[in-house]
Amino acid sequence: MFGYTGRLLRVDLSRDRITQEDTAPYADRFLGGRGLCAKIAWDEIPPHIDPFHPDNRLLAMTGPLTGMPVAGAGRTQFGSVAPQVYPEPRYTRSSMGGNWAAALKYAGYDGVIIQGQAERPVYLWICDADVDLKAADGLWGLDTFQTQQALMKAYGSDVSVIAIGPAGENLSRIAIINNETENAAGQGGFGGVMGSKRLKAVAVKGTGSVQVADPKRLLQTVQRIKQLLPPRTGNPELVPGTYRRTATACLGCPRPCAAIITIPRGQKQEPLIGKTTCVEGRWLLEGWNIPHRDYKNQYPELPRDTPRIKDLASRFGAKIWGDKYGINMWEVTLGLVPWLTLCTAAGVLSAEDVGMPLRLDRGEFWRELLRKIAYREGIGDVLAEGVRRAADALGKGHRYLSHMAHGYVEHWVGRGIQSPLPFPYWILSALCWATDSRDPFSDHHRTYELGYETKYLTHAQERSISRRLYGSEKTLDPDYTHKAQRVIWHQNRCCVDECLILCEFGGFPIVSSEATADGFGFPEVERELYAAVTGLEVTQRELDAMGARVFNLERAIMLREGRSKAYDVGCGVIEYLTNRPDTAGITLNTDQFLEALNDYYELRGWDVPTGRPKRETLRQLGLNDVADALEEKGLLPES
Amino acid sequence: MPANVVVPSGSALRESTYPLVVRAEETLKTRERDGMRTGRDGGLMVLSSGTAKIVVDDGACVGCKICELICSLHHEGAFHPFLSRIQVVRDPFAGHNVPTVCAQCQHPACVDACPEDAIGVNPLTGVVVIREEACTGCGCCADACPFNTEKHVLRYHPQKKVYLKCDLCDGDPQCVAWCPSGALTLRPAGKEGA
Repeated sequence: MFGYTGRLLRVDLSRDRITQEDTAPYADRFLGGRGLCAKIAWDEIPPHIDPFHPDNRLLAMTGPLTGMPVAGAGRTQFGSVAPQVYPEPRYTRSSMGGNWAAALKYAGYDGVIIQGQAERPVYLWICDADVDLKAADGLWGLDTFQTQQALMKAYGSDVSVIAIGPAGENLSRIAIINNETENAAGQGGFGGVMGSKRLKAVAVKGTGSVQVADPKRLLQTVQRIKQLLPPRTGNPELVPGTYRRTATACLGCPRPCAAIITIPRGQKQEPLIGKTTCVEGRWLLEGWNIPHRDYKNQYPELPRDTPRIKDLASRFGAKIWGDKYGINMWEVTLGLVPWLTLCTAAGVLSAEDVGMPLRLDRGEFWRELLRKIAYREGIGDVLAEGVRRAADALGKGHRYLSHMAHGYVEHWVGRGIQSPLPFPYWILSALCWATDSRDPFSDHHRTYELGYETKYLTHAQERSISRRLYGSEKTLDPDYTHKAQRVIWHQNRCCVDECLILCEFGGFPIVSSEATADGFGFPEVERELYAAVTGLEVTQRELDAMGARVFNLERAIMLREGRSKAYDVGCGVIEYLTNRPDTAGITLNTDQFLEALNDYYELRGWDVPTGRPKRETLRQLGLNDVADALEEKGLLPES
Repeated sequence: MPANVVVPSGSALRESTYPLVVRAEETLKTRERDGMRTGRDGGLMVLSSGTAKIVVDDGACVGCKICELICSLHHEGAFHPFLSRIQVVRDPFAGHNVPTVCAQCQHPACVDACPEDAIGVNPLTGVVVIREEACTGCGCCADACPFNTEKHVLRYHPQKKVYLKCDLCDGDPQCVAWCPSGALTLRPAGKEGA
């Protein structure tokens, strides 16, 4: 087998048993990564299960391109029932950068299936053929940095570790799984799933090799990618100040998107060292305040000035504590901070509610609040449930929530910090949100790229690319028509990329390029890489179908959990976007959006009244067995 | 061949594709002053001009390990970073990434230490090379190398049972060619200085 190792690990924590399975039966139809997670979840995770129940799975999968010199080679795809999802936890995905997936691959495994619950805290040790569960007594209670450093001390600096901190141990719904300082499976709260299983960490050392079918073709494709994508040296926007900045990349990636920041603190203190990618860039830029321009229209009753943390070291230090405690800093940065800032400014929450003086302009305030969340103390016990649930528990503050749907903060819908995204691009986003199981914008940014981020192209070039990729020029038109087909293209392609595993931040899919004469990108790049590595010459159509297959399988999982068109319509997207205008004053038109949603179902081959895949669609995608299972539960549309 | 370098006659070296030099007739004052262990016949050769070597800029390394992947692909025919002749430590807690590769020393302790004369120096380029067919995997080189405390310079191949080190890929080091951040550059032979 080229590319794959051919082996999966199954770890039953309840029975203290570790077994191996073949990858091939899964990879045949579901490729790798996200697809393997979906297939195993469909087969094994009972619907409606509590995320902290021992029978929930934590799936950690790599793809055939893991460990290769491509952007995404270090990424891990996780799948599990997610504690954060609102109103009911549901199966979803979460992914993580860094290098752990590559270590797993070189140890000889394509993925790990974790089930059950250990009787006492353990960590999983994987060193090539040596796989063992070991007592984590000395590790339980440590933060994510300390845990990794302890394991590196024990096993050598070349061990790669994923770990939870106290937030995960204490079953926070917004707890992360962390690798290094800040490569996190963040959204979804999978850290709590690990904590519920009493699994503190997974430490991997790999000394093996991976064979590639056609190395020369692989390297030629990598070179071509390099010609098409501009080079990058980490997060470019940073405030002035005294610090050292080292661009840092995930394993295999030639286009670093992140930077390690070192802030000296004089002779008597260790320097502050942490990593920043996109979200933390905002902390560093704006000092943990909320952007005035985004909120003054929405909340005219509030004062124009909101507190900000002036001292760089103070605010960066608080962020690092979030990484150490193992808390989802996206939820904190764009969920908790604006919400708490607005609630306290409005007098909806008081110092008494919060349990300490409201010094929102001090890093120490936020550090202490993060500590309370990690240890579920005082208001921390409520906030550890995620801000969406916190508002419900407190019975107030709903007006100031930035959470839009599925329990996740709004993201790239033309409001809030991404208010520059204009109509009609946020219609694309809205369709993504309404048909996904989570915030789509950790991996669907390129959906709105053509026309919005392609200033180097002429309008004619954009229209031409729109026609070639999405089947119509009109995906660029400022209306609700022809948006569904573009969304479907990107959802399916995102599935392919998250199976292989390639990184969106690294440049995939390559929709357009400044380096080509017509601006067209390299949409067959995934097919080329896959063929070069595995030797399997799938056609583009077959590869696209694999993406659609994974997406439809995930839809089947959702149907079994009780999802339907009613949920797509009522999950919060329409309400949020009709109540909040974009910067041009445009709100969502419900009727037209519902028509676009119907277009979407039609094009997906789903029944329009119910939002359920038709049997014929599933059959054509090789999912007839899934159709049978859905039919047994009365979840197939009437034929 | 530089004037201060002598190739012993009758040695197996003439059969090798690389004319490796493993000992010189003169013991050099610098070697005695350093207090380093000398070779069995009294010393090492020194080139009159600088060696070819990979120069590492730690501050520019992004920790991607593409160098490890390419090195191992080139030498082993598969991606096998554990056997890469260049090793990168990702150290996010210390705030940096550190590549280590053979410095192609002008006074190679590994050459000195090898009991089999399996390591030698290409006299034209200064590249220090292990001849796989002569290596017995004893590890004396690995113990002797002052830069090898983490086993990043001289590595053991568990299947072939020999030691591995950077050979500059016949003059076109692949790690240098593929490094995306400019952390690795090739300083060709004949260039003086650091």
